[in-house]
Amino acid sequence: MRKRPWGDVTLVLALALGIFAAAATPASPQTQTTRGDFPTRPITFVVGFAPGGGADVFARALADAVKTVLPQPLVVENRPGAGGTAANAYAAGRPADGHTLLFAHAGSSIITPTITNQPQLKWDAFDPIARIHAEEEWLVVHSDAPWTTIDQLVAHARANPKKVRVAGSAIGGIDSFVVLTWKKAAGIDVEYIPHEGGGPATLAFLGKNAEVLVGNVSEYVQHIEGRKMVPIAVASEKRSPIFPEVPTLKEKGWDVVMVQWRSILAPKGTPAARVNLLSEAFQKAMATESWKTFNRNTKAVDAYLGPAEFRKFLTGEEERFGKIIDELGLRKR
Amino acid sequence: MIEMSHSRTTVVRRELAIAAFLVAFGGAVVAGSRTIEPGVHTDPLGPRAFPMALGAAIVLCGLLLGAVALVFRGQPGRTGPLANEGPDEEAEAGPFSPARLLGAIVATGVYIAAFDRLGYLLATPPYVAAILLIHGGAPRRALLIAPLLLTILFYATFRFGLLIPVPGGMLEAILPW
Amino acid sequence: MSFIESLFAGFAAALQGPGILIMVAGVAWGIIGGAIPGISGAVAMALALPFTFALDASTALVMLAGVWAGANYGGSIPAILVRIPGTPAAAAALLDGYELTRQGHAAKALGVSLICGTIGGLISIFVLIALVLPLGELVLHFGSPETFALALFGLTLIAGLSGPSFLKGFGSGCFGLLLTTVGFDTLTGSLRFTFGRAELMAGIDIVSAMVGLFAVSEMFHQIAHPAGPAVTVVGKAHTAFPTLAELRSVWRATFIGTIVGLIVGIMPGAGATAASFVAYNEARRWSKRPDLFGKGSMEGVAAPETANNAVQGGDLVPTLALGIPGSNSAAIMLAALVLHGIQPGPFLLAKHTHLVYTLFAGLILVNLLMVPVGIVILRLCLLALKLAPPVLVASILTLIVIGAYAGDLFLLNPLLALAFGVIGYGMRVYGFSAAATVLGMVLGVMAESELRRSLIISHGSWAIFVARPASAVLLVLTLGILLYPAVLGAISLWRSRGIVARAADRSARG
Repeated sequence: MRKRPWGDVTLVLALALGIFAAAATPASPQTQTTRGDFPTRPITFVVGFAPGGGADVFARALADAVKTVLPQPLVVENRPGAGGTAANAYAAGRPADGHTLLFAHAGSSIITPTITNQPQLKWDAFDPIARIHAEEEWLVVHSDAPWTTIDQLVAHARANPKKVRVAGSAIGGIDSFVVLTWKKAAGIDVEYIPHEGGGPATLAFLGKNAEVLVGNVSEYVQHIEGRKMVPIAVASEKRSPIFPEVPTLKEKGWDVVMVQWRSILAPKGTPAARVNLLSEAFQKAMATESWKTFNRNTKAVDAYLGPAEFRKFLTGEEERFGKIIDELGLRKR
Repeated sequence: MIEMSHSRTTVVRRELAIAAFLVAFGGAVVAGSRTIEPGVHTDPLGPRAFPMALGAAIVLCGLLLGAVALVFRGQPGRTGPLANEGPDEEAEAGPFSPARLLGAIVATGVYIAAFDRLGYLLATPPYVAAILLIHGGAPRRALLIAPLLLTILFYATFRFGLLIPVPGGMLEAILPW
Repeated sequence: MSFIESLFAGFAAALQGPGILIMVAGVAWGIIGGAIPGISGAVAMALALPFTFALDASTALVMLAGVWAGANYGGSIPAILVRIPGTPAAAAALLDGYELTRQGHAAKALGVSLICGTIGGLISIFVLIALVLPLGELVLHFGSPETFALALFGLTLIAGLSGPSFLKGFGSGCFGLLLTTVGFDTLTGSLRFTFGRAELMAGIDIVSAMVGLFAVSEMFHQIAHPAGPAVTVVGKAHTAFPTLAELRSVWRATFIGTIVGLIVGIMPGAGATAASFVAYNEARRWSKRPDLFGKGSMEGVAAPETANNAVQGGDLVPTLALGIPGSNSAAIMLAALVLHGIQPGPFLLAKHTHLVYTLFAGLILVNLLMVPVGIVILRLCLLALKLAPPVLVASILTLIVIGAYAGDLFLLNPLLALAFGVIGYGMRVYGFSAAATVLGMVLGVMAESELRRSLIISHGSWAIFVARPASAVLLVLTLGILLYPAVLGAISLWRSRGIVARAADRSARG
């Protein structure tokens, strides 16, 4: 038994000060409060994907762009898991006072909650704030492949069922849906290889473990420039200005239009005034220089929609995806 | 739980109970795996294969353990041909107090439940005091000072040093920061 | 500019202005962040990211590199001192590190972790700098089959972690593998074992489970056995650093750790945690004193800690050569690039040579800086052991609850830690191996998803594992490891039969 408890206590104190001092080395961001107004403390932006990934970088770039517009900083908090829906569950439990925001895209806010039958995680359990970005989904092949057009690829796939492999991200994400609907529309039997994210999928494709890669071009634009990969189709309404010579799947007769949009939601019940304030703030942020540079580098397109239009858009998206999910027989009962 | 006497029957009975538990658990896993929905068909194995195989492996483990226990009848030091050598750690640990163990488990459970409702600042001091009491051997002064000091120390470190929020619970409304 | 000139220019750039201070801050934050369970290297880097916006791109990268390196070491501090892995990658270090602390050699264990880790990190950086482009090509040959083979290879460690009963150890490992199946299955979109709860969709948090299985169970054990030996044995021994002779004695483990860390780091899909366990396994296999492993072998600390530092170089290979991050931590480095307006990709080296070389220089510097910064923090942490046992136990339990909560802010995680604490205690009492369960959890995701993915790639053929050279080699090794003791056992049984028969013969005759 130690005879000097005070000695212990002092040591604990010393340790505390040591930790505190060392931990305070990166200076804390200021937390000045705007009296009574909103926001009065940093806003948490919950992202359902791992730090460093596409969603995370988007969120951080947005946080950086909006810091000149909002009096409080936007702080990204990563809660990866379950195709992004772990973050949904977390955000749903937060107070609806506008200090918590949720990152959402089609996979995490519509598709995955529907196929896993978790309506409390779906977009309509939240308040839409704004749609920010839209990126097209591309189909890419190796530059030394025997096919150079989508027609040739489809012909090959028809002649060799189960032989063509497509790499993309997890089932429930939009990559997987592009492929699943394309399979059905074109009547081909290709094998889909789901990966944990766009990065691993790209790596697998580069290693010649797949013939086709599906995803957003921003993730591998330099590989395309280096002529290792060639885009052969895009899943959008009209041809893209990034590669105008590449046809859309739609013009080939297959109604596969899937856009990776990125957006922001808030817990349900957030006061309308705050919703509008935030939405406008993001719109202003999208006009900043830093955001424009980000878009240039990632080849993403601004696609702002305010709360009311975004809600309409989401309703339409849910209907569209709902039909596809039913056709594919994926709706969980 | 553990009896300190190494009578063979006790050991054999214990090993058989463990074996039975494994068989039951593994069986439950296999049964549960069969209810997993197949989802989208991408890979030939599907989502059921792995858990079923593991459940079956656990059942097998249980059966083999039971067999070993019966064959070797709990001879001390001989757990069969699949054994490694190892010291008996439990013997050196001294007398066992189930009350203390249970107390610690319950106290921690209550603390976790209270953590969110009451908030960190209210829930922590009683918990620290409880553990000090259950563990025993803390001098009187430490019982009074440590709970408060530790609570404040950890609070400062997490909330202000690392900028990680801790729940305010009931105090959320009145905290100025 | 020649290679050497570029590197010198990089050093100059990294060291200019407040460079050193920023590196020290990064490393210090990394060590502290790594030491807090629930804050992994990647999370610590993510937390530091906002502070890098004000810096220019190369300084930002160097600072983040410091956080990364620091976290690789920091995780081992609580692992060794109080059996709580600060990061999952430090879990292997506690197998022997905590035993060393119990024997009064905490500072030696921590010192070995620091110095050997630094050596591993530096060597892996040198390899990276020298061979980044050729290694970038090599990465593409490591796919799902190779990663699965590696996972299988690593799982053979179960035998070494089993303790007296191999069967129970095997069962424990299976349990760990089973736990990884809980949640959303990315390969088919189905939910497994979630019992309708949304919180379980993300699976069972491995950090909470580890903390529960190792630390909470240990705290319960200490509370339940009040008269047993306490973890805090106050004395000079606690602060004695490893001597040069002792460091030399672990050279083999350090060498193995470096090689394993490099290879596993380059392999996509396998990270620092897997590397540390594989390194532990191999160090034990090739050690002159394998019997010491698990009872306080310094090699058992050197190998995993070297490996998880050496992964840093490997992770940066695909990151810099292909623009695809090799791990979450590397992903943050790329995120920092993007946020500074720089496009990552295969042209990064060519278009931004100066930036990359400044990063190289920075990586070397931060790994070197780890030693002084690490020693300071280490000494502070050793003070914790001077606390009276009841206060220490109470502090640890409280910290675990806060940490589990803070890491995720779900009520689920502290409950998981508690539940696994009870499970871990029960496992200990009944002869099972919590370490084997943790190993299963660490390698389980890799094992299952890469196996299934490989089968899609091979169109359903199992032959892919032997058709591809790297995976074939690993599988043959694994098979050899599994069969070796069985073969030995059979041989000795055969021999002893002969002896018994002859003895029986003699007594019958005589």
